[in-house]
Amino acid sequence: MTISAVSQVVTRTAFSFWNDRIAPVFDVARNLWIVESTERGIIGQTERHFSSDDAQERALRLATLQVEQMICGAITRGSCVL
Amino acid sequence: MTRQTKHAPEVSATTTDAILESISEGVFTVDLDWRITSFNRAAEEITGISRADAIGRFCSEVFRSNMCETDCALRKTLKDGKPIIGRSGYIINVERDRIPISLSTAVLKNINNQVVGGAETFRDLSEIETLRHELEGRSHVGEIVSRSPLMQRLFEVVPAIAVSPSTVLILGETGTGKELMARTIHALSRRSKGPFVALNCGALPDTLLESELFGYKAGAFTGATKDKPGRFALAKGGTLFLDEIGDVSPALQVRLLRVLQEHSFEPLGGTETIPTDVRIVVATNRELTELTKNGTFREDLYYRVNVVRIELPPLRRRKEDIPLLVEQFITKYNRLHHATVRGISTESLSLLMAHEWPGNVRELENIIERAFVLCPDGMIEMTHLPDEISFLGCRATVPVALQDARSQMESQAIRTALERNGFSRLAAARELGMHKSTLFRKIKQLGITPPEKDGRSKTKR
Repeated sequence: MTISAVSQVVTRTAFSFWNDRIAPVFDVARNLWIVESTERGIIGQTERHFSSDDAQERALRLATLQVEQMICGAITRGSCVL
Repeated sequence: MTRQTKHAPEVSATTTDAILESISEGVFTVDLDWRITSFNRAAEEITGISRADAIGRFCSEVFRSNMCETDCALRKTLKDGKPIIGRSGYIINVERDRIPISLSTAVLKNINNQVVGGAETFRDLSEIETLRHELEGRSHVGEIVSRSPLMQRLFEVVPAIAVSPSTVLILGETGTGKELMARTIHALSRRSKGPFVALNCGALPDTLLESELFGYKAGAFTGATKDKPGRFALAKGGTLFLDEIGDVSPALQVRLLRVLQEHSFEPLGGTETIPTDVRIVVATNRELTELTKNGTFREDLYYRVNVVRIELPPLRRRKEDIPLLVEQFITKYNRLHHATVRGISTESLSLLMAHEWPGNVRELENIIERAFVLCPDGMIEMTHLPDEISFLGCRATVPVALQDARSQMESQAIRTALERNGFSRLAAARELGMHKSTLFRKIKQLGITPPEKDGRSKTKR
């Protein structure tokens, strides 16, 4: 048995969604769809939720989920800075 | 008798368009698929999105309100047919600014009375919000909120005190917010990026206090296995707050005086003199002048710390702040306890206004926290207040207690107004918004005894 030692860079992208579309306002969005991808394509998808509208808690949640990219509708400048 | 006939003028589509274009409220309409069918000039201005870009798109993509996802007013109106008037929220404009709005909704029907969509009108509240924030700004400095004239006078000088390097002495009864004031001074000072280090001098025995303040070197005493920096060292570049300075022993007062004079100190067991780089703020609830007179507090240290003096008034002298403070604490504990308390009932607030508050703001905060345990949602009622507030033994006769509460409130308000106006009854009546004869009657009725001479009397030389 051979074990591949080639490591691939995994990127985590989150989409805030509502009604099967991108949620209009990230600051109050409840649902996140997280997609893990490498150069070869998507390797995993999962749904997560926000439990608070507090901007700092949401930023912390994204950090905990190791999200590197975020696709959302509108976002206030304050939340964007965080 | 002639009868006047009312003429209903015919309104053409062009007229309607002209009206919609001329008003300052944003208006848009949607079809039953939630796609925008019309978008007026004000809507373009408020959202920053052009009509051409808006029409045909989903309203949530254009309007981008905090209500779209969970609490869409238009969806509710289309569901139950009832218009919604004046709901508050915010939208995010094209510049990513948060714009506070007030919106109203209506159902759109065709000539056959069939629902064909909905209309939403919205008003930009930015200017009103700015004004509101300006007003709020005047009622707080840092985390301290107050509308009391006594505190307003302090608020005016605190920023200037904060930026000066002088030692500050904060005086005030227990629970008046001395540490909060010290933190505010630090936050507004040029040292705000440095540490804020607080030490309660009354809580520690002398020897421990000394090592806490100045630190020690390894081997200074049994058990001192390694160097420990003191609070003076830890506060380097920031502010050192020494609470209950009136309780420091005479021996330690000498050491403190040396540090304040020479701006340097030596850790216990150390031989090297370390320069201090701290702003000193001290506080006490004791009468330092009395303590200096009876020799408990060194006079030279008193003059050294009494450079800039701030006297925090007790809550009983600024009762007008109680509603504001209650609101602040309700917001705080709703956040901390994940509760949904909406406010406090008028009767409960009256009782709080009638209380004398020996424990000051801290006591008030504790009472609100206690109420949250008994009342995690809805309104804080009289039953959620402790007995010492809700008139022990008077529960069976609530109307009488309420009458008492009102009398006590009136009495307190009159006393405060008299005090504030140098016992001039005319000025006090003006401040209270009542005629002077009404004030005289109330003074007599409530048994208030102002001093013999009032504000009109001249001092005899």
